[in-house]
Amino acid sequence: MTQEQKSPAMVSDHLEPILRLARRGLRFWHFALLTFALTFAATLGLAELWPKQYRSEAVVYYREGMQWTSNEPASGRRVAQRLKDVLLARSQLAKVVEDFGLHPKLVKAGRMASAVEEVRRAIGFRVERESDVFAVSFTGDSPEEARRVTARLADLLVGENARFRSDQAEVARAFLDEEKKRIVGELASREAAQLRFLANHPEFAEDHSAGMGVSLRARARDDGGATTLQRDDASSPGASGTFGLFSPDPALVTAKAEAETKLRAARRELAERRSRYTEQHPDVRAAEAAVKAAEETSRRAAQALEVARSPSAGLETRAARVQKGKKGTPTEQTEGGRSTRRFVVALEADWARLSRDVAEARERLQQLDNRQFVASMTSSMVATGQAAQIVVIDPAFLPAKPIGMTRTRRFLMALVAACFLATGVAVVLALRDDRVFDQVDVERLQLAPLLLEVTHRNMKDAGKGVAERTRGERPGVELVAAEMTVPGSVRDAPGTATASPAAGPVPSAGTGEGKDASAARTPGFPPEADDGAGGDDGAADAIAGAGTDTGGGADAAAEADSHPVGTPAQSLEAEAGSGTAAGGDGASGSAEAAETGAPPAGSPQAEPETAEEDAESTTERRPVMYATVALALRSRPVTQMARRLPGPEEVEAERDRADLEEELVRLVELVRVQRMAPPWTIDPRLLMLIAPDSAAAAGFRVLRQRLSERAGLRSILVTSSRPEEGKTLCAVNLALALGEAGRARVVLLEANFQHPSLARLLGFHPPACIGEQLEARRTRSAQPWVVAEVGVPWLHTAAVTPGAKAGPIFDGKEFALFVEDLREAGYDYVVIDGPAILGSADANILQESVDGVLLTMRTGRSRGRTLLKAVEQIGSGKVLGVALLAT
Amino acid sequence: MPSPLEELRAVGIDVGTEDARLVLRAECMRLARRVRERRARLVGLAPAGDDVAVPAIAIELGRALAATGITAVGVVDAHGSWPCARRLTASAAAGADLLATSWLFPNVAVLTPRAPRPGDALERLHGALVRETASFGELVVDLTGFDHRGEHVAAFELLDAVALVARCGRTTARQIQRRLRDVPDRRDLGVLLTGS
Repeated sequence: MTQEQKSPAMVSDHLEPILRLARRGLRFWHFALLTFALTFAATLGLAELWPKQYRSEAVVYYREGMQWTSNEPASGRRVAQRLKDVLLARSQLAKVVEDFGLHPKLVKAGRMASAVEEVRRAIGFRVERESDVFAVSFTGDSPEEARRVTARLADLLVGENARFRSDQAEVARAFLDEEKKRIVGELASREAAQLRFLANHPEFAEDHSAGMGVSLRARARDDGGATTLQRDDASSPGASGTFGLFSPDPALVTAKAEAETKLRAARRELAERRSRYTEQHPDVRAAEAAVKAAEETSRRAAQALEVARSPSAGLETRAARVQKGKKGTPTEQTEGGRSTRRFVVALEADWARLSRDVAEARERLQQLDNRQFVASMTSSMVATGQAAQIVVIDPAFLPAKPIGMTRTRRFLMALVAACFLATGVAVVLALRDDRVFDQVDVERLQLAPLLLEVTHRNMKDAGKGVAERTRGERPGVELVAAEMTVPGSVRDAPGTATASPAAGPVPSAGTGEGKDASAARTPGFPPEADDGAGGDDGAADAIAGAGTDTGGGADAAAEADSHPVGTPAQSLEAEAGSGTAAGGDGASGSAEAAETGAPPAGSPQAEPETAEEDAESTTERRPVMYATVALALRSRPVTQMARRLPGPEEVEAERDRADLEEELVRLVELVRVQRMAPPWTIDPRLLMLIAPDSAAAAGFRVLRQRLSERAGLRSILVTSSRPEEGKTLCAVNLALALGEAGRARVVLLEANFQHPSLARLLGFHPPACIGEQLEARRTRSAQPWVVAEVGVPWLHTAAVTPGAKAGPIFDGKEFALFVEDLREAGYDYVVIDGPAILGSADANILQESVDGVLLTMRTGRSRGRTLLKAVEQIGSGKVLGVALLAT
Repeated sequence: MPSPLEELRAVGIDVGTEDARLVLRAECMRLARRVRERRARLVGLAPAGDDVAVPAIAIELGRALAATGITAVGVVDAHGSWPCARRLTASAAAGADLLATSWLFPNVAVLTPRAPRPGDALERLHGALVRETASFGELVVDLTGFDHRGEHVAAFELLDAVALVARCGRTTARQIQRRLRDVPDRRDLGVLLTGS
């Protein structure tokens, strides 16, 4: 359970920067709100004022016609692309622009291309995936325009598709016609060449394969050609006679038979189709074409067979030459055989070439016939409307609502945009904001250690305490210890509280019955003249120490008035409080003991006598300073205060008093203390007085502790970078904290001559303006410094008289002497409420006469840049730390 | 003869179940060993927040210190904030001392202010420490309430060592960090986490 680590890493630490930024951004909520409102209104207004657009749509269906080729039908995507290209063609759209008067400004300016481009942007062409259904849409300025243009586009699509198809078919057919003419001519020329060859060499009419040449060559080699030729012919398949050279070629016969068979089949097919369809039907036409082709094939086969059967002179000549070669000499036979073989080979080559050319030409012609037929059929189908076509299945409609976002959606979009922009503005402002808000900001500046942080919550708590106290009981000051007196050592200044016109009724206890003496026991609030009636009687009673007789109380008060500060009545008052330090002289708690009947701690039997004796003994003493005084704003029973006087403290208190007397001897030589009437109301900024138990007051006590840890620190300058950053508040409360409960003697000086505020804050009129004192000190150096004691006995103050004219140049030398005299006089701490650093050199002059500088800053007001500049001006050597005060 | 647990309950301090008390005792023994290692005589227990109860821990630490030493240990309710303060003061012998001494155990006493006032708690503590160190070997001081008046920093300076008491599930890390910032390094004993 025991942890060693001082700063454990927390997950929330990572979120802290974001949260800090958010918190900082929230401080600019008014800017963000303004941005939000403006953006929201602007977005909504813009959406309302923006020209409305209407969109109409027509759905078309691409329907494939009859298929006459083996090719696959065009895919949806390819068709869609083609249709889209057709639709968005510039020439087409230009016509649309002219017909409907679209974009007249552009057209009038001669920018038809731009107008077409605009129209092209307004056209939508949607294709369902792998589907033959397409949607054509147009976005226009009016519903009617949108509908009409959309309908026109759909019609355009249909018409263009039909025209495209028709043109395509016509072009194909014309091309095929030309091609066929050329092929037919070529075929005729080749057939003529072949016929000429056959006419010259009739023996090739029966040749049906390359075996002919082979047999001829073999026979010519072995026996001059005749025997071999005869044998081969006899043994060759299809030979029907003893001399196969003149018999018809079996292949030709077979081809003729096959052609006739095909012709019959085609005719049967044609008859069948005709029985089922009309003459115009493509199937019937196809059957007719097949019959024609079969007839042509059959005719050619018959011609070839006819040619092969008719004897020719060439073959006879050849046969004769073969027979003749059998009868020659061997040499002649050899020579003759060679030349014969060469001749036969040449003939065979020619024959093969001619045959191939003719076959190729025929084949091409056949293909061309087929294509021509298809083209013819396609053209016919296009003409009759049976080809692929586009049908409008959903005509263009008249749009009822404008396109775009709905009202709700526009509202939401405006909301989102406004939020986004407002957040952005807040974040940007937060990022650019260099004001100091909290401890992290101070630490980031690296000015000095943060010694005090009075947060807004602390201030609120303190304010709440004030409010509660105001409702319940009036503020007062309670004396809890006796005064220290120095016989005949004090020069009381004129115009003290007793003679002050500002001396009103002393703040009394809440009850106003005079039972509670605490409110009347105001160590800094001297008794004043009153009529002794009402609630003030209680105060008077307490002062007189009798505590029971109203009239006596008034008398006592009157008696006190007749004395200067520190009269016996005053002493009696102090001693009647409780007096820890004065226990040695037997004055502890006597008056209260008499009043309440409870024996005080320490000397239970001596109360009435002690009070009287003390009252007598102090007639020759004049009080100057309280040794141990505690301030409490809450009223407490007198008995409780009486118990707070511990007997064993008496010895120490006596010793302290003796020491103090010595110091006061020196003090009175240098400083004159003038007691002032307490203010009617205590300024709520005096946190140490008004809310001593608040967190803010606790912060000042911590600051006190921090400063007291620094050895040799006796004079402190409280300043800030700019005015209105809490210098006076911090200085006063620091001084109160330093001297709280009489733990130290503190004097508070005001050195802000340009903007004095200390007197107003403490609620008194300075008996001597500190500026005038500094001025007078130049000529009369022996004159003592005058400080005022306002309400709180452990705090003396030298302030600037409100409205006093400040000298043009601050006299730093005299001020340093002043501070030195105060130190010499025995003050433990000299707290100086200084001017702002930036804008004058006074703070620089002042810091020369102090031990340390405390820099104050206001949350949300002090800026990092100015703080850095201020520290740069005064130097960081004497800067003790930073006090961060809430606004 | 009442058990120690009953004794504590009798003075208004509930340390929970027996198991919890044993765990607490074990932890306090560890802390006591650390105190011994530091040779600290004045040990402060400062709560990290307002919802942290220190009395039971202070007494248990006092018992642990007494068990590991030979001298008596005083547990000081410096601010008079303990629930049993009034009862102890009434039962204590009358005297002029600032603090009323009540012996809970043979070697552990509770020192309670006779007339607690928030304004002079620091002075009272200072006086008590000066006086009572002669009577007790170690003093365990409950510093509850000092932070409300900002006097906890000054109170730390009066002690030899300070342990921060935090409560599981209640005390935040930020609270502990803030309070640890006030504890001088040379006096820092660490954080005592209770209630787990």
